[in-house]
Amino acid sequence: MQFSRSSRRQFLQTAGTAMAFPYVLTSSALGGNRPAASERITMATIGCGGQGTGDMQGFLGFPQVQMVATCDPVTEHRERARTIVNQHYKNEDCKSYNDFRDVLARPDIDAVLIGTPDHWHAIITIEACKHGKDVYCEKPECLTIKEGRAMADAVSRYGRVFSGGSQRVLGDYGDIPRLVRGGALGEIQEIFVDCWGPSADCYLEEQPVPAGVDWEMWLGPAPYRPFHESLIKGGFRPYRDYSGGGMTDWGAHRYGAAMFAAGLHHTGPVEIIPPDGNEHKLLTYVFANGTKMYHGGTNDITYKGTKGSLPGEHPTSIDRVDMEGYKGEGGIFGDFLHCVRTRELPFRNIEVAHRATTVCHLGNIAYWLNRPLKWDPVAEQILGDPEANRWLDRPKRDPWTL
Amino acid sequence: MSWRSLMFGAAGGLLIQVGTGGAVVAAQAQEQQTLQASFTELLPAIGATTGYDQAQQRWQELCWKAAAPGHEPERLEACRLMTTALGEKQTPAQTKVWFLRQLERIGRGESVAATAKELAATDSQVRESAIRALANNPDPAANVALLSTLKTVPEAAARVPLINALGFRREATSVAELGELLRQPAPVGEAAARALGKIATPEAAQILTQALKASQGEAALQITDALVRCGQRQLAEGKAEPAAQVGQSLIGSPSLPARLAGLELVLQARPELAARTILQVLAAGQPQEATVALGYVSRLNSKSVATLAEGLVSLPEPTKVQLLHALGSRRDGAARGAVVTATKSSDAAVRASALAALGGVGDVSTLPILVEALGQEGDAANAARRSLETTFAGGVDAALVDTMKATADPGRRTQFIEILERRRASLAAPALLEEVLSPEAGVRRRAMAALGNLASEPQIEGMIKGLLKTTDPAERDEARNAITSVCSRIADPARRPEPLLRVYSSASESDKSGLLPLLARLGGPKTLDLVRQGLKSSDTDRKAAAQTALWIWPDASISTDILALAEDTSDPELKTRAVQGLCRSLSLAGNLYASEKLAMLIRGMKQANRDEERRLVLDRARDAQTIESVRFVAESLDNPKLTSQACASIVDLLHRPELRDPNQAEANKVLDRVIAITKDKSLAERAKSFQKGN
Repeated sequence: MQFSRSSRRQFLQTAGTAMAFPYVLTSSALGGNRPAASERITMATIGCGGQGTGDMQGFLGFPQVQMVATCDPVTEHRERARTIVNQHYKNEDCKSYNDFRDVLARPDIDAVLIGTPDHWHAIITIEACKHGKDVYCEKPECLTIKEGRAMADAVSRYGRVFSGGSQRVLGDYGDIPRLVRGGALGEIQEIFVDCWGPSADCYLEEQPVPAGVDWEMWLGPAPYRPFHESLIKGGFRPYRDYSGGGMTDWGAHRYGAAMFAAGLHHTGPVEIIPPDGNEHKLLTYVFANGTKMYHGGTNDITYKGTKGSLPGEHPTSIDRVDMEGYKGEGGIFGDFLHCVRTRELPFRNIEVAHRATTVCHLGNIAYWLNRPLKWDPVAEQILGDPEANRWLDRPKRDPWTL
Repeated sequence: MSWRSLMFGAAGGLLIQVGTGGAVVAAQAQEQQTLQASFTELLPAIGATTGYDQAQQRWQELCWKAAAPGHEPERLEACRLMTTALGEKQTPAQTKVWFLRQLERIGRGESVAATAKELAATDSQVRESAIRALANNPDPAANVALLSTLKTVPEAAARVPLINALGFRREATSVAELGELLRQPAPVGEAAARALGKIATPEAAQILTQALKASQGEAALQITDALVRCGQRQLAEGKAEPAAQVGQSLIGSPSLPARLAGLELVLQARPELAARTILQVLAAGQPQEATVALGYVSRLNSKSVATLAEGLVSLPEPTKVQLLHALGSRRDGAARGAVVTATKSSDAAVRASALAALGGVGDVSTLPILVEALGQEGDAANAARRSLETTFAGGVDAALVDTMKATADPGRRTQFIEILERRRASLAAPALLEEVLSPEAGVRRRAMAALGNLASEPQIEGMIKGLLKTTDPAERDEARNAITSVCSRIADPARRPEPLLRVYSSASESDKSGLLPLLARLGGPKTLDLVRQGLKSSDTDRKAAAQTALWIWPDASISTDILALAEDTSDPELKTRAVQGLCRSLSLAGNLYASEKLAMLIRGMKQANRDEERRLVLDRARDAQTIESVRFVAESLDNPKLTSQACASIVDLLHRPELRDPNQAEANKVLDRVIAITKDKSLAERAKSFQKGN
């Protein structure tokens, strides 16, 4: 039965036409000429807070997408998102769900957009892969390093297309990645990356759970704590049980961008040194090639190489550089949709996303434990510090597991 | 093993250390005493119903420090203190939860017995925390404790978290027990499957294979997933054939996810057969399996790419399109021959896909195919153009330059210039310099624009020649932009005008007038001298060029010259233009103090002969952040034509506390006047918020 569904939809047969557009277009420029319903990519949005809904609206701008479901344990969120979708399509076809498992059970859904808080990303991604769905997951893609590896394994296990949601790596930095990767600054010696600091324990006071909020489902795999409304309104980021704080929020963008520009996006640091007030004023990552990356010391990202700095004085280069970029049209969303059709690797594929978030998490562990760590980026293990290694994953709350 | 026996062991370690370093032992003993004292001090606060956060955080910090390498006695002591507290009846549940969270991070064998006792706690959060603490405890005794508890718990809901904890631990000793549970209905059976998938030993695989035969629905999905995890583990351990057999056993499954996972595993486990497998899948016309097969193309080695490409001809046309796309993305030259053949297909979609794939696998030898296709229409031409822009093979830039030179048609020549520009083909710059002298305006303009992105310092002189030959104002402006772009890429800002200054020094008088505005875009002291000379020149063209330079100068260093012009000229039109220019220049980067800016604005106001410019001066006063600026602007509050701008500027100036606070009384008075006069409600609200007391 499922074969016939796919045959009808001729899932891949538009690959050739998808390549035909020579220039990058914005999603709004893609408004006309919707493919036939049978050829659209059907999607569901899981996690309909501010970011999830914003991403969903971005996907709605693509004519090849048909959003068919919204899902959130907060009724108001999922219903608001559903209304947006139905108003967009001028029908009532989009359905809303409290439990993501009901969404994944729908055989007509090709891909899911995951915009939940971080502590849900890994479980939903892995379950989506098991159910044959492709995944676009907001950054930071995971709450722990082992979650990231488990996600990568699941994507590989089922041959799924996965894109992380960090549009800033290419979107915010213009020509900088080309210049840095192309050697305009010479060998990169130091990179300074700005973002807020790590997360901490949550001491918000207890509030009664309002009607329309499935608090157990919102908490999911995180340790139990009583309800507080700021957590369901995007205020979860400062708290360790749900997020890595600023280090994984903007850090997932900026460390990812810095590592991509420096060509370090398929590896990781070998040493992470928290600030000690002496030799190391800033959290310092040391890579095997000698490059040092710091947390702080800039307003955004600053690269210092043997031939110059950026921002700052440096030789200019107009040369073309053979490096990865978005495929298809329409930025990171278009890249994902193109790859769903063609089965290529998206720009922020799971391995790249995992490497970027690993750096964020290692920084957090070094901050929390306040001691230097040695990291094996191949084995993905902290060396010589068994208790620090226990931070690579966290047992989940009943009944959730990876 | 109890924590006491472990402490005894640790004490043994201490005895050895006494012999080698008494100071170390003394320091460690001191640390332990400090821990005890801290714990005694913090415990009441940790257990309090309010205000416990600081005490909890302090104790957590001590725990994490104690767990650092080389501090084993302290870690043991911290765990001893917490496990002792766990065993005491008066310890509140929330305190237990907090200690169990610490033990989850630092507890080892010494903590197992006390933690395991909490598996029977009546408080669900304590129970759950104990399970997590045992799950993340590296001592094998934790596994034993979880397994033995599992045997005594009959309820499914209570068994699932224990099973999940065993899965988290990944210990082979759990396999038999979990295998027994695999036959249980959901959720126990599914949880057992997931746990076995994490443990992923050959024994686990065997049990899962048997169980899969009798399962269906969600249970089958979880067992399949676990089985494939076992295959992945075997693969990672170099046991490719057993892994392939796991994959093969799933390929015939009625479950789609099982088939997809099986295919993926077979492809990974048998890389030498992957190309043939992919061809078989594509030929079978199974779209979902095809998604996995095509996704795998990016991981094939060169030999397999060649095999895959050879099979292209045998596939149906729509499938060829898919495979051509994957081969193009793979960017391996081994596919080139087959892709070239496909460019001759009679099927338009196949032809366009092959042309697109040449962007990835093509080289200089395939350039003529793309060039020819560029002259066609529709998808083929678009694909060819994109491939010409993107192919990375060596020699392509030079060959494209030759092709451009040999192309007579201006439209096509322009197209090649655009392609070279998008390729960032800097070696095309000398050839493009010839094109900027073309009699064809389209070619000329496109070449100049391309040079703006591709040229470097040696080509600037040639670009200037092109500029000086143009008469069309728009084209001149485009050329100036392009030349400025190239100059601005010179790393040392002080050197940026130099190539232009060299040309300027030997240019004819009429050309100098044309070059001066171009130089002005780059600024610099030498150019400023030339502008000043031009302003005094009797040559009307030169003078006009120097005046133009004033309006486009890139920083505030030109402000005094503009003000002087405004004050000296009797031409009302030029005076107006100069006041406008002054306001513009004062908004640019520079080293002027606020007081200097204000002084110039006051003088500029006297030269303004229209309300438009007066408003401009008042607007710019916002950048001169002194209380004197407020006073200056306030003078215009009663002029109905200037009131609105004056109010806005005053509110913006007084927005700054450093300006407002030392002059609060004066600020309040001025703000009172603004509030009384302005018709802008939001501005009035802002003004009120800046008054003292707000």
